[in-house]
Amino acid sequence: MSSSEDFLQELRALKIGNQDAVLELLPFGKGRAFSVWIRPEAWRQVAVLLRSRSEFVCLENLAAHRVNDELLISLFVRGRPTSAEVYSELIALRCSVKSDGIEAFFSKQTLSQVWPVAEQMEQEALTRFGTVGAQ
Amino acid sequence: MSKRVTLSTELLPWTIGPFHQSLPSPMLLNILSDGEVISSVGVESGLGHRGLERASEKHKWANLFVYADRVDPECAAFYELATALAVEEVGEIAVPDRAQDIRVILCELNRVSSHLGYIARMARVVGAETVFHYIVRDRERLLDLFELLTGSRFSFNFLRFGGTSIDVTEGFLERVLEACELMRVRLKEYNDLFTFNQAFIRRTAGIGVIAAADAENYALSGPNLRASGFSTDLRKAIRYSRYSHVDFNVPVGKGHSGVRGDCHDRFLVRLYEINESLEILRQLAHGISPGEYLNEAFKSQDPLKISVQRGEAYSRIEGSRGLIGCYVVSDGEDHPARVQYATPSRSAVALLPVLLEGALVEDLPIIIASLDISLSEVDK
Repeated sequence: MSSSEDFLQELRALKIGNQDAVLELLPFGKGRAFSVWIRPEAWRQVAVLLRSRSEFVCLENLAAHRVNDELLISLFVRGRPTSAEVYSELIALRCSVKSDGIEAFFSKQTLSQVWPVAEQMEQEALTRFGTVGAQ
Repeated sequence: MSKRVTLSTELLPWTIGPFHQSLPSPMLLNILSDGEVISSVGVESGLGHRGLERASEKHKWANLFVYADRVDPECAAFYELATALAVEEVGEIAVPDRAQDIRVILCELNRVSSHLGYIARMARVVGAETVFHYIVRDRERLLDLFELLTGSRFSFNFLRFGGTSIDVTEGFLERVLEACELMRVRLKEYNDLFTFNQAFIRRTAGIGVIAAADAENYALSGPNLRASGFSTDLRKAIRYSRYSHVDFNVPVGKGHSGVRGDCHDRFLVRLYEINESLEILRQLAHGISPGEYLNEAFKSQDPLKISVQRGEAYSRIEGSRGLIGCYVVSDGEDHPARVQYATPSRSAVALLPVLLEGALVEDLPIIIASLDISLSEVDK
């Protein structure tokens, strides 16, 4: 079993209150990638869980994308660079938030304490989609 | 009664930038130093923001390459390839083998050219002006090859969805082989003159050390990551394009002259990577696949009338500075709904405050240059 599949099993059991944190698990694109749709309120908790696993330490990217009045936020986390197999694995954590609520979302669910590079990425998304930088 | 005089030990605040000789491009460093030792550094970037992602979403699919080129002009081929791979995945567009070979040739030439630029900057920052001029002279040979293949020396706009804009020009592959031979001779000269010169080693060995844990925490990639002892390279890990058909090694930092992950290791890894790229180029120039340079379906189609089916994709490739990601979303229109790039220099900039803390002020330009940061790709 690959490290990402192992993690996905653990995720399925995760609860926020009495609800499942994970809404949907899907393969993402070609190759060894998974898309994990989660409740926005579980964003930080799932990220902490992911970071605590030794295989997934590298935050690669954070992308936001507007669909109608919602913003889809995707967090791409890759495997450790210890082996080619693990390095090629990718998990995309995804959630949707109201498009005018991205500031509130990042202020509550910021990942800056989880990954040191997250703050810069969140700032980039805020500049583009926040109320100041909204286009 | 004699008056006792003591040296002040208050921290000295000072700023470097946004325009300064020791910075790769516009950025601001807010520094607190204790004498000659840097206590803390705050980094401000974004001064070169051009809104490239937003601009590319406003234009047709075919125009994406124009904007991809400008994310980091020194690494244009990599951004073109990352963009092409993402869009081709969304649109399920097949790419002929020959076109993939040409793409890899362009990327490896770009890797050599980018690494030569790096070596030249490192030479200049330690005061080796002669070496700087030798390298810039040799890099011109590569820019000539870009011009021969794409018509441009920078910002190629050469890739197309489903292949490349034209086939390799007559005599191009022979010129590539000649350039490879010349570069091998030149690399030996650089080594004799500069790489293992004690003056250069003393200025770079043992400083700016990136520990393996920091390399992971800050998601470093590319030569900066490999200099810290990891042998991972996406060309080997996911073998995109035609990298599964070429044989090459992945150089890793070993602490040759100082400590693993220091400035000299980062320099050496890039130098050795040039050798590996030359080997890839030699293999492809000798055995380029026959066939078409562009998917037949796109040959007769007006590029500006291309539309891509609904979907999303995230491509990842190994650029010369590290991992480049391209996230593309299509809603079925004649232009992309979202284009976003993950850039390797972003991690290097985030790591700067950690790396510079405790360093000597005199080492600051060398440490910054050794990371091969492109603010262009950070600011976008």
